[in-house]
Amino acid sequence: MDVTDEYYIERCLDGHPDDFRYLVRRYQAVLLAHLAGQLGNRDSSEEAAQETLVRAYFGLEKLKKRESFFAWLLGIASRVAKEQRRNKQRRRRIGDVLSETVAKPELSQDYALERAITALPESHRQVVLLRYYGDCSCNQVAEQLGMPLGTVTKTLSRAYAMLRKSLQQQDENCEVQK
Amino acid sequence: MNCEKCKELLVAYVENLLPESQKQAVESHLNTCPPCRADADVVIGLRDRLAANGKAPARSDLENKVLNRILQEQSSKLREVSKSNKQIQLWRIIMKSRITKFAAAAVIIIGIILSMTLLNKTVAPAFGMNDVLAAIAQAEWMHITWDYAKVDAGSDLAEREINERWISVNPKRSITIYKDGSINFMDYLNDAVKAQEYDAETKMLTVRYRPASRDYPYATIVDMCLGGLSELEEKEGAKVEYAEGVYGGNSVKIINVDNTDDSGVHLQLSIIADDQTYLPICMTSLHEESGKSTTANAIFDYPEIGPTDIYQAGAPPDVEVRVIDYRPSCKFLEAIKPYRAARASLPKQLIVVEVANQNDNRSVVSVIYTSGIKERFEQLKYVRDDTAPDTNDFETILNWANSVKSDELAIQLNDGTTVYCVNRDYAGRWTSKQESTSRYGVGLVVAGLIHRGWPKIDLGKPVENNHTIENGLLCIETMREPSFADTKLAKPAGQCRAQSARLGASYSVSLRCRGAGHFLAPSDFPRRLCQETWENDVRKENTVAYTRAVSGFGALRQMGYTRRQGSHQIPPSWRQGKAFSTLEENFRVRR
Repeated sequence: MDVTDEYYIERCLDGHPDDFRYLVRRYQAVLLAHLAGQLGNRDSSEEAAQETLVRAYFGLEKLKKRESFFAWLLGIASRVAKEQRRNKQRRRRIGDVLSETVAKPELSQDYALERAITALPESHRQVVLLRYYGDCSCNQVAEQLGMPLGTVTKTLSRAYAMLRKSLQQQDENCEVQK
Repeated sequence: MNCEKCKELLVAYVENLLPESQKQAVESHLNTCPPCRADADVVIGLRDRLAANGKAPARSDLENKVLNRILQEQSSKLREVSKSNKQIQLWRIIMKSRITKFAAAAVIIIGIILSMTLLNKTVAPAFGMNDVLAAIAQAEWMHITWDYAKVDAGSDLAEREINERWISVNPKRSITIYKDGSINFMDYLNDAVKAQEYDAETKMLTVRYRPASRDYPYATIVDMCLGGLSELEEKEGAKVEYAEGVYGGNSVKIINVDNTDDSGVHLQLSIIADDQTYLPICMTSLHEESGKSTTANAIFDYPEIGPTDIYQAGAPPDVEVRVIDYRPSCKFLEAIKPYRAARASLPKQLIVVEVANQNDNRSVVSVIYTSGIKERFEQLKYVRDDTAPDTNDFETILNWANSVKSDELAIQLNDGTTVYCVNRDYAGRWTSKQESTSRYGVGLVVAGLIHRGWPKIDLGKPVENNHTIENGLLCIETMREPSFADTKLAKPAGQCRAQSARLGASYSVSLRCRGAGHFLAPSDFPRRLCQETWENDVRKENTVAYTRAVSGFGALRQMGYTRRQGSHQIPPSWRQGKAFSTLEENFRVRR
């Protein structure tokens, strides 16, 4: 992560919208994973990611702490996801469709893992998403989230424990169903 | 190592974050303890699973989709604006670029330049627009008379038709005379740009002096228009054709340009140039936008003399004059003299050393060195806290940095292209990283640092850059950090923006007018709080900008400025675009 977010933000604000591309590139995977966790399906998470990024672009001027672009982006994403869920529910009510299927994240093949990540507390999820979906090193995660490296490893440790537990539970449930 | 300790370190081990000794300890424990080994395998499995899954999300075309949407929304916004604010489309294109904005008066050559840029890449004929431009540069004066054959009511041009344009090589001058009698008279002086604007409606003549941060050769004035227009060419690809013909009984060169941009503006130009001299003789242009069109003819002539002042250009002699001077006051210049002298005595190579205590915003020491060749900084600044040394001596600052015990420190070395950053963490460990070009700006001399006992840092290769001195200093910005409200001005009162952004210390007010380095004289500045900050905003292709401001609060202190009670707040209206007009209002308006 050589060039900082702040630099690209500055470029965008200076009338180079094309540079927003780099920010999109940097965060799309994390954003998609984050949204998939919240929305539970790939199409709507892509749609939401698009909406989030567009909103973020037009809101850049309002972003005070440019170094926390990522956290801010996730905030927008959560709002967008909420709106989408609400709209969906409304549509459902209007259409009177009662058969509600359980939302499943379908970003990738590893549903179990996706579900487990979704179940993580926000702070833990952020670290996991940045580390594995954002392809950041632990140092970069620390920088990104403004926390000491030690906290990142501790959070990761706890996240691992939680993931293991919830994956185990999922396995057990599967076996019970069988 | 016991199992408990091993569990604790497991993730750090898997993530390869442990120092060698601990790593070996964990490894040897894992080799001897099967339950822990099993545990580790599970964690490694999970890590691999996460990593594999992280790479799995198909890269959809999100990037392009997002950018398309942004551009769409932006252009629809622009269109809305343009409906209410009727301006010639090309003008807008020019105004979009900060540099070309400065030379707006030279807009006359748009047609020519447009076709020239278009041409450069499309075909390579024996005769090209470059020849035309070179011919123009040879002429003492170029004078253009416009004749509007057809102007639809409501079209962009209906509001302000241009009557005449004068452009001179020596003195560097460009004059625009509008149909309504308004005049724009620009003089590019050695150290300043003098812009005289006569507004026929308000019967007011405004003279603005702006410090020129660079020399503006005639060709540069022309070039400044190129920036915006080359963009037009790249994105839109206009059609250009060359022909030969006869005009008024003489053989001529004809250049035809045809372009329709994204927002539907259609522009058609025909330039007729002399067969021998390549000087344009006349030009016809058709400009169409949303059903409204304007047809204009321009006739070029090349007189030996032109208007020497705005009154000769047609401004009434008894008109009210106001002068707004943005040049630095003598007082201010006097005050920063020692800084300039200090700067001159600094080493020629090392450019920036910045020592910042990141835990406490108040402890910031920036020592800015300028390069003998690449002069990036206007002055030297250091802001200090009680413990920081009151010096610009490098050794002393280093000693101070080393003596700061418990705090995390960041030292940045900046060679103008690459920023090399060394961090000391809470445990006193030094780590380094290279932040690439990003915002700072060339070549690095760390040897000096290492020689002085600084830990050895792997710095990698400096990146090539193509900044040149011609790019000059372009921008000024002022800022305040409210987080210092509770301190006296003797404490740091302003910082560079990069710093304030990193420290999250709130806002800055930027008065930007790139292309013209504005200089605020503190004596007349409202609230008596300002700083001189110059910023180099050179943003070339693939080269990253240097965006750094250096402030001169020391200079203010020297002048006896103190912080006034409650004056740390900057009025909200100063923010963004309004900042400038407010300034202008409050600034020295002399009648």
